[in-house]
Amino acid sequence: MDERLPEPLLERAVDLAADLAPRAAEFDRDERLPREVVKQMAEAGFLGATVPAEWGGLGLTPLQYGELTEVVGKACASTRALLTVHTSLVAETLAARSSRRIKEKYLPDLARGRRIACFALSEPGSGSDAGSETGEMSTTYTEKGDTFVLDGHKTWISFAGMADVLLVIATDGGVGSAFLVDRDMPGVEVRPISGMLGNRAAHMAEVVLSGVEVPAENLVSGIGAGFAFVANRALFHGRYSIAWAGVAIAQAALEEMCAYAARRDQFGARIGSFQLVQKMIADAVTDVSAARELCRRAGRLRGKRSPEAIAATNIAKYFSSTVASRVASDTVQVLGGNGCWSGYPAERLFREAKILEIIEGTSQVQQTLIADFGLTEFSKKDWVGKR
Amino acid sequence: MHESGSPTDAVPGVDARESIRDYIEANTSALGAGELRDDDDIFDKGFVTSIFAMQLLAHIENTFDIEVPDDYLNLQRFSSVERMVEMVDELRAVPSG
Ligand SMILES: Cc1cc2nc3c(=O)[nH]c(=O)nc-3n(C[C@H](O)[C@H](O)[C@H](O)COP(=O)(O)OP(=O)(O)OC[C@H]3O[C@@H](n4cnc5c(N)ncnc54)[C@H](O)[C@@H]3O)c2cc1C
Repeated sequence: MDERLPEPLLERAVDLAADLAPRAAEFDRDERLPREVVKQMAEAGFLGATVPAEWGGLGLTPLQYGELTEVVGKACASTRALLTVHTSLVAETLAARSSRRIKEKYLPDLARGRRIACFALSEPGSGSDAGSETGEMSTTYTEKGDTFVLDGHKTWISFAGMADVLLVIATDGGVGSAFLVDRDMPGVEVRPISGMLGNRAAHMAEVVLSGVEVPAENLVSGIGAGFAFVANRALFHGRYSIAWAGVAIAQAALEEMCAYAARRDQFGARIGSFQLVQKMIADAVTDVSAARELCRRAGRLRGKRSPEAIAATNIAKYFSSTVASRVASDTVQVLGGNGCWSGYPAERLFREAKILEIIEGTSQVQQTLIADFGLTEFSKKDWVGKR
Repeated sequence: MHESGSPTDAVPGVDARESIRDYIEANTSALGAGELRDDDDIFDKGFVTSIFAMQLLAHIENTFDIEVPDDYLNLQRFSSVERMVEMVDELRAVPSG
């Protein structure tokens, strides 16, 4: 399998990242990713990164996508969030799980970034339990002639503020289904949300759906596929993206930490020569390497379409988001007062890292899934390792 | 229950019933759900959670070299060994390509 991004694509990504990195603080402050950045991502082909070439995408392997996500995510978390939401959660899911009709109608535009998509699962009363039997998802659909009528309220929807298309999960008495809703369908109202801790430039919004009539052909997969197959599939892609986003933030923080420790003097010596500071550096170096390897393992299993890729992705997401938080927190520590000030990137990385422990399934949700996997896999005491 | 001469046996390659049973048993929660019967609803009875449906889908597609079409993707079709065997038989009977 192709593990590395082809040289020209890597160069394109590095150039784009070099352009984004110095502007990330401004996007964060303004709470707005400019349209022109979305256009740059589209022109580079990155918005169709994992979409097969036949639908206008780059057809990257999971490992190549990981490398791209790390490069972009190191420069700007909100731009990386576009890759997570538009490309992984929506486009890649449609490529895997939608009818030819939907693919023809939406995929080439999504792959080329001519239309932007977002993923609408969460609601004010439905978060970690979205899709579970005890969950209280309130967005409903009812069949009416050759349409489905959607009513409900979604929240925390990244990029809903600029999206043209929404992948909406709704329920009919517990039977979950997924629909593609166009932003300009009558009854769709988008209410921007300001004041987020991180992903501040990611055009966060609430979405209210009032009697939105969606043509039957916009049903993604079958009736009843919404939670088990569409939402879970989307989260499977999204978690992989977030796992690499964690590596990206941790790597950016590590570089910041080391560069600062190598130039700041206290007590007549570089702070990097103090063993207590060195401990933070050593732990960060070790953690970042481990997180990247877990992401690569998940990537290889995904590339082979192995059923084990699901657990491997959850493990990578959990570990890598935790590492991002720890390393970014230690980076703030190493930078001292400067770490607490927006003139340096440490405080932004610290905020962005925390988000990764919450989205695409919180750390507690991942722990529950991983424990379940552990009990199944390792309780039998005759485990000798997989080849 | 399974009898020889059923469509599953008629198709060369992996035995669907045995393979699906083994796979569920290997992935059944260690916290226990009792003995698996072919007509048990594996989600209702707590053998596996609905997240496992995606893994079952990957297993079925990989093992039997079939593509499960969209209109088959609902939990009912994956809810018991019996129903999955039926589904595999149906899909194997359709010439691919
Ligand atoms: C920046 C950002 C972007 C987002 N983008 C999107 C998006 O694009 N689309 C979308 O649909 N959603 C999005 N979300 C929503 C996100 O997916 C949810 O916030 C997340 O799933 C958690 O749900 P919740 O906020 O309702 O928290 P809750 O589910 O209420 O959880 C609160 C706390 O309880 C814990 N908890 C809950 N259940 C359990 C349990 N069974 N065991 C142990 N602990 C538990 C949680 O881990 C957490 O610590 C976004 C959120 C943020 C912050």
